[in-house]
Amino acid sequence: MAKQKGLPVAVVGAGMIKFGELFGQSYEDMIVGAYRACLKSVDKGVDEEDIEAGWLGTCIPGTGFRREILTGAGLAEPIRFFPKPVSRMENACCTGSDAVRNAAFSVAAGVYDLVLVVGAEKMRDIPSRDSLIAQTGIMYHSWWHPRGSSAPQRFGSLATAHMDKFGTKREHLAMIAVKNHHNGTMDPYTHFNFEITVEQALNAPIISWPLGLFDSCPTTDGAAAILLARQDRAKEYTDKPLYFLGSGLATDPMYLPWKKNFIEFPATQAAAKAAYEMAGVGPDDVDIAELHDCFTITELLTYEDMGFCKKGEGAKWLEEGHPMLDGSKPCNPSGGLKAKGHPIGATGVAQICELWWHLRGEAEERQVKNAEIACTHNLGGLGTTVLVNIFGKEPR
Amino acid sequence: MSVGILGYGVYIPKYRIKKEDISKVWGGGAAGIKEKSVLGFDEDVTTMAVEAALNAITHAGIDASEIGALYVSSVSSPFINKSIAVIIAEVLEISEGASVADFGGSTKSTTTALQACADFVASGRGNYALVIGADAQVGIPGDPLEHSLGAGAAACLVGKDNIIAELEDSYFSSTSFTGTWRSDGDQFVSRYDDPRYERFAGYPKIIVDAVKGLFKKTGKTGSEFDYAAFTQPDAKAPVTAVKKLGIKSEKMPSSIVSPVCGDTGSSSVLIELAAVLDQAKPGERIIMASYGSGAGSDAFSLLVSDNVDKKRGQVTTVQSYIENKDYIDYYTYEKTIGILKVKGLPEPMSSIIAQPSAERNKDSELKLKAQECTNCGSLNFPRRHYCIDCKGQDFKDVPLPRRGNIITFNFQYVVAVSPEQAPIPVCTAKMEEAKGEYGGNVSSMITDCSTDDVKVGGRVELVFRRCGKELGLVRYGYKFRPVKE
Repeated sequence: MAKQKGLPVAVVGAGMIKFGELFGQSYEDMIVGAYRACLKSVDKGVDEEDIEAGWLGTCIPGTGFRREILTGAGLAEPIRFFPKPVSRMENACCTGSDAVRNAAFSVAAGVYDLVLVVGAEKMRDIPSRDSLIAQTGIMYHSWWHPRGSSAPQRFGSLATAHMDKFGTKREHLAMIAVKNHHNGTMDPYTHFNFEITVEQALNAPIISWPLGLFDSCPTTDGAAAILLARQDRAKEYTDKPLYFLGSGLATDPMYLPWKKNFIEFPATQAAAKAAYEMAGVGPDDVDIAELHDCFTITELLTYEDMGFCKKGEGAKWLEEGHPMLDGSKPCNPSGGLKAKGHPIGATGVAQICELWWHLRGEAEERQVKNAEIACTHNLGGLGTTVLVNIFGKEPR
Repeated sequence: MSVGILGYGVYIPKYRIKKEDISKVWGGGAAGIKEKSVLGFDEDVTTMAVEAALNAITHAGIDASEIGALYVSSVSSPFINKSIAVIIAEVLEISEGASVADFGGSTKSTTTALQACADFVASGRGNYALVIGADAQVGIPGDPLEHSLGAGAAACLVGKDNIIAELEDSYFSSTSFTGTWRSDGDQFVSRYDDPRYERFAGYPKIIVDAVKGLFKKTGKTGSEFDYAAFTQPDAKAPVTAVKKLGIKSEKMPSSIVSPVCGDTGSSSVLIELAAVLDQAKPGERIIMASYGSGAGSDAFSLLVSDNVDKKRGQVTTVQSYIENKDYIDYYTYEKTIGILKVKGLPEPMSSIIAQPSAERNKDSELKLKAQECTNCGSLNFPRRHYCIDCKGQDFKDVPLPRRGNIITFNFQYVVAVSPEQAPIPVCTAKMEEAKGEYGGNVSSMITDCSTDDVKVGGRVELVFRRCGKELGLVRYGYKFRPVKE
């Protein structure tokens, strides 16, 4: 039996708060902010009572913002959603996009007609050394602990291998950082909104050679929300919904030395393949890509693994200008994780907000013209879990 | 059947600090010591012992699983109450059921452990026994011991067949004379600050008496020995002792290791023995003597056998360990031994106790500000965006009523806060004149209260108190107290 094309689901609202170091906002404040922005974005309005269920994407409540178990009530409480069902999703950096995926499946299954997805992460209340770095010395296997692992170390090891095999240079990584910072200056929701130069990126302090400060995304506070409706009811809420065309999720070894090699993310390739197949499209059909540039090398590898160019030609594809805002396939028009920030649970949902604005022609200064199909890509761990979601202006 | 040494191995860390670099800060020095070995930041006696043991096992040419006894001697183990010998036994994968023990209390215990190995083999309880001495003691900054105390490890595999040196005889001299010591809880080794009496009654006398005891027992004299291998607390005392005993010293100076590595404590006597065996020839005789302050001295006579030539070149020599070195400066040394404290990674902390959260919550936690829903009148506390009762979004700021009536309570015998005295009464109260079905309730600990004072419906009032400590910082806030009627 041939699998169906697309999901009978549409995005009918999307909103987020400005990401940043939000000392004045609690986790709950951010959720409420994103929720209200999302409600406001629904062209024909929505009765909150019609929302039947919620999904909350938050990755690291344990140490990121409080040492406490977080349930779906973490969303139900601040928006007074009781007693409606809310599921909480945690799947590393795919947390937000996986919350969207599962919410969409519930609608596709015919269980609900209208559901809410909120991604939120409070990361800046505590110093970054106390949160991500203090936590990530283990990196799955106790063998690694504490033998020098960290997220920059893991991604840096791929940069070194890619440079060695394909001649990619730190300058190429710097170009990605410059591009994303530039795009970010036009996005009102970014954590950072300043330009940088290739020289600045190259001369910045080294975090884990070959990756420097500007190769790394920041830790950020933020929240984003979307509303998903049954495709055949989408027009009740807006004349310009985004149709959910495809979703692919894949996994790969968690422990770094168990990876097949250090020049690719097989899980990105697998997730993209699944998403393309469900959507009935190919990499050439994608007009805009919001990619998971946790580090610049991740974005470069993702050009290749998403099939935008051949393996090993990411740097060339970049040099030719394809991923630039005015290029053939703009990547990270929002500024990406690099400029926008990476509040883990919010990231995948916020990427959809960006596509919402572009596909509806509301992205103002950074608007990508004539875009029909767009995708989001999130990569958790060291490509341990990857999720690709594809959206379009027209249904399948 | 003769019992002896089948193989040996040493380990000296590659880091050295020069006498001048310590003198630059503190002046002073230790007799004949030009530089000393220092642990790397990820080394300790356990790791050094493993390296030395692997060298010895390789040199002996046996499989570690054949070792029936493992005795590790150290006075600077990272643990007071935990065996490092067992960690080492597991790393080496020595045989199941082997005798494994830690020796300590004195640097002399290394030779006690060596004798125990010899006895283990001689008694027929097993074919092979391994003795390891390892130390990395530290002296008080500025003290001569800071100049002299170095780091090193050495191991000898004891067996019966194919030995390279026979353990001919031994003599033990135990005395509690004390020159240096380290008391429970001390990081640094202390000493009597009187070198005159140390020379009179200490090492030079005690080690000579022990060797003389062995001479008397065996009928041998100093001139029958080609080499001496003595514990080296500094580079001069052993030379004096060798001269006094009439032992030949033209083949090898009696201080090889200590001038460039310092006093390697429990490993010193075995490192010296290894340095001798690195060059000794079949038929030559070695006098070995350990020394430990507060313990005494053990003397051994060893006869080098033919196998020593066959095994030559099969173990990393003491000399090559001495030559493999990198110098560190005094600041690096201080960091390594922990005098200069380096801030480690913090424990992951919760933002509930972080500064931004404390600031955000001041209105509710310190000022008791509440909100009254303008739609339904429900009292919302702490601050919410949507009314807990009606989902209204408009509120009027009101002070939280201070008094309430207990709805339900507990007595906490096991609690997550300290240093409160259990049992702690905890209650939820409906605040007086507060409206709302969900709204108007507050939960807190009840202070100044015995369990007899608490009942459903009882009146309580909010009072300002200490609410425990977090990150060492007192946290203030409100608790309930029973209202005196």
